[in-house]
Amino acid sequence: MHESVATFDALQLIALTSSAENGISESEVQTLAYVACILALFERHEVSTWGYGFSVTPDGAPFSSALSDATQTVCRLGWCVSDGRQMTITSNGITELKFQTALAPNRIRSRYLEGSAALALTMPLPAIAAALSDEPGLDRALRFGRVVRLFGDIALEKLVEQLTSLNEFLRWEDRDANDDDLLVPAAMWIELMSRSQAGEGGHPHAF
Amino acid sequence: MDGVTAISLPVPTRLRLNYFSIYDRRRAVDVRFDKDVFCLAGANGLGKSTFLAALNFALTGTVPRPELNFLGPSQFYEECREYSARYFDGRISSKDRENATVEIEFEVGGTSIRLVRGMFEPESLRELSIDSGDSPLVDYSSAQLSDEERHERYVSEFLRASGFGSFAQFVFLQLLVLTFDEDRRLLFWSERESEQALFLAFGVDAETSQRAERLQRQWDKADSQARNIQWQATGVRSRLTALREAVAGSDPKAGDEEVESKHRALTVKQEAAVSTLSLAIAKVKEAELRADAAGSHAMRLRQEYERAYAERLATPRVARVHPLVQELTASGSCGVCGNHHEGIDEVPLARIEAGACPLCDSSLPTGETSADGPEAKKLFALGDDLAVAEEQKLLSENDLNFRRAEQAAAESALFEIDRALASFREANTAVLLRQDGSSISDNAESALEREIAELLERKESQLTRRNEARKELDQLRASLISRFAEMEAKFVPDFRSLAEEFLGIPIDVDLVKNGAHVNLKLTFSGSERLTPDALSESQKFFIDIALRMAFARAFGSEVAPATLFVDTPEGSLDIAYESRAGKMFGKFADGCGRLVMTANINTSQLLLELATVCDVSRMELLRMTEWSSLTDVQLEAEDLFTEAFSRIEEQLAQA
Repeated sequence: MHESVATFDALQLIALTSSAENGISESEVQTLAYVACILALFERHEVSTWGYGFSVTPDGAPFSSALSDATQTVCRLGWCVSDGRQMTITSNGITELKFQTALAPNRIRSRYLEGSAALALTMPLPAIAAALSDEPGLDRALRFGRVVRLFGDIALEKLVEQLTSLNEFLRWEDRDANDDDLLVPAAMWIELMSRSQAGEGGHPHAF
Repeated sequence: MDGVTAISLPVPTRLRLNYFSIYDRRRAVDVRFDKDVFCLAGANGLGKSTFLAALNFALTGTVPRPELNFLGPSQFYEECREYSARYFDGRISSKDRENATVEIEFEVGGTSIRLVRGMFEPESLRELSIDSGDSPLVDYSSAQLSDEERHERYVSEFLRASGFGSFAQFVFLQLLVLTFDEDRRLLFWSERESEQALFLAFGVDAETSQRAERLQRQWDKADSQARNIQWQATGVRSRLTALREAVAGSDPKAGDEEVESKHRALTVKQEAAVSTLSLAIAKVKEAELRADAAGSHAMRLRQEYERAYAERLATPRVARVHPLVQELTASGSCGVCGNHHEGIDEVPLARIEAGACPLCDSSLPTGETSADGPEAKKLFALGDDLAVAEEQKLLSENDLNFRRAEQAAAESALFEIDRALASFREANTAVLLRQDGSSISDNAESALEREIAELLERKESQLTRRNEARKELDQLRASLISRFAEMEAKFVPDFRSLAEEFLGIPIDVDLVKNGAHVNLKLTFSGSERLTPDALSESQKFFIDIALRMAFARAFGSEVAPATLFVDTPEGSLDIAYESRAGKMFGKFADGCGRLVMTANINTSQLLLELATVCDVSRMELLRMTEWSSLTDVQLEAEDLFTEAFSRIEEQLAQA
């Protein structure tokens, strides 16, 4: 587990999704971080390079204790404020984020966090969380009522298969360098999960 | 019936289980065995089998591994060790692991022993005290002995008091003969187990049984090796025959040159494949070293980076960024007194600017801003180095995977060419030998003949070893048979009366030589029942229990009765036999036998009948429902449990 990347992820997600009127809750940070990790897998990174793992909780949401600690650290250091439910970024948090984004280990993951946050700006977070429950790892765990580590062998294989299909369908490796907005694959994947739940088929060619 | 052997068995008097998570309503469970029959009764899943397993674990440090193929007491003891160390994993939670212990007090051969064993420590003891009667009590619990040394002392004193030749013999007897557990291993139809039990019960001394075990193993090993060597010799003989046929009177033929040419081409291909594989292996080794170096470097940098990151976050923050101060500025309200007015933050901010804490007036550290101090610069530099190192690590791992795939392909290619070459040589042996000249075939023939001769000599040596072991073992078995003849006047009626109590029809048992072993043969209603499938499940289980009871009586005496341990026997019963089973158990407990058993609480007649035969002075019935929480289903049926208990308790009081 790497504390630095968990802290950066928490800071960036809070910064990208909070505004003067609305903050973001910790569980929403967890969900978006999970989506960001899936986007990294979509671009063929190994799950072991993400820096921390997720489990599925009895209420069906992905959870990382490293990320949970990190959101508390971020608040404790004054980079965000919390009213007990929602967190919003502070000016010191924005300054710190600028510094941390420039750190080399954070540069690559920043794209995935931005892609995930962009998704949250286009569709409601509860809808994203609901669609996620059909992700292979979460689906297996929920179906059998288990508390399990996500991205375990069986489920990971199926997820990678889905993401590879999506990658090939979008011809992502051949895309224009200026056209790498991860919002597109993120939105498509969430749509696929939603369709799969509705029994409409979860393959990219279903579009 | 007085004991017929020189061995004394332990008679438990007290058992205490501490921090057994499965018994969630009691931190400690403490029971005494001061009556002939101790029965722990409860519903499924409350931990009855665990109780018996813990008792035996206390005595032996061993839990039997299910489906272990029994070859002898020493092998059994050795191969259960690893399983024993983890058996209680699912029954004791991780938070209780260190504190979970079993404490037992028991008598053996006139010696009183008390020990405490950790539930995951099969070969050590936390406490030990021994009172051998004729000398003062010795407490070995002090720190002068290590836990392992304490266990060794226990084993040594136990063997002295009990008369067993080895601890493995005791473990075998306690766990496989005197305990009928949830695995339902059948002693009667296991040749090796029952023969070992017979040696212990009727052998002249414990040493005889050990010797029999050693000789059996020697025989097995020598017999197996003789057969292996024969198989090798047969293979060599086949090669010799093929060679002779190939070179018998053949002249050069047309086409020989083409064969030779193809053979040369294949051989060249093989050499090339070997060379490619060697190179591939060398490249894999290099790639492994590079990947290790890159991985280790990246790991070190990652550790430094994380340390620097954490140190930076731990630097005292300037007060300005403290959440209370931030909140004061943002909301215009004081988080301490609740007051609210314009400019409320002016005074605190002025004090911060002056270098003093606005709350306690202490001097503030002059922390640098977060993005451009030496810590930040250090973190940047480490981050850059780390990114490079991780990239290198990824590249080296990819390279290693590539090299491994190359090696696998080279191995596969070599395998194919080897196969093709062998097949070609077999199909063209005569031609190839003609080309090599007859001197080579002469050499080959002599070498093969020599090899056969050597193999046959080794085989003879193994057969001699086997036969020597067999001869000595036969002598021991003969003495076992004659000893049985002396004792059967007591043992056989004992077994018959117990088994017939259950079956209700005549049964007989005799000792027979059965090929390589000496075993008991069962005759049931006048016809032999040689295999377990010739009986119903109830019959075979309870005949097995009757046999164990008879063995227990062979070891026990009026003064020191042997104890039989039985786990939920009524689970294996047809309803028609329930009452008879209770009578059988009662009969055992009536003469030179003690019983420690567990039972499900249901409408079974077994416990009712047992309670009728024994009375409250001879039988203790303990409710397990007070130890563990019941499931919802069990809670719904709690009235039924209570009713079943009460019936048995009433019967005990009336008996």
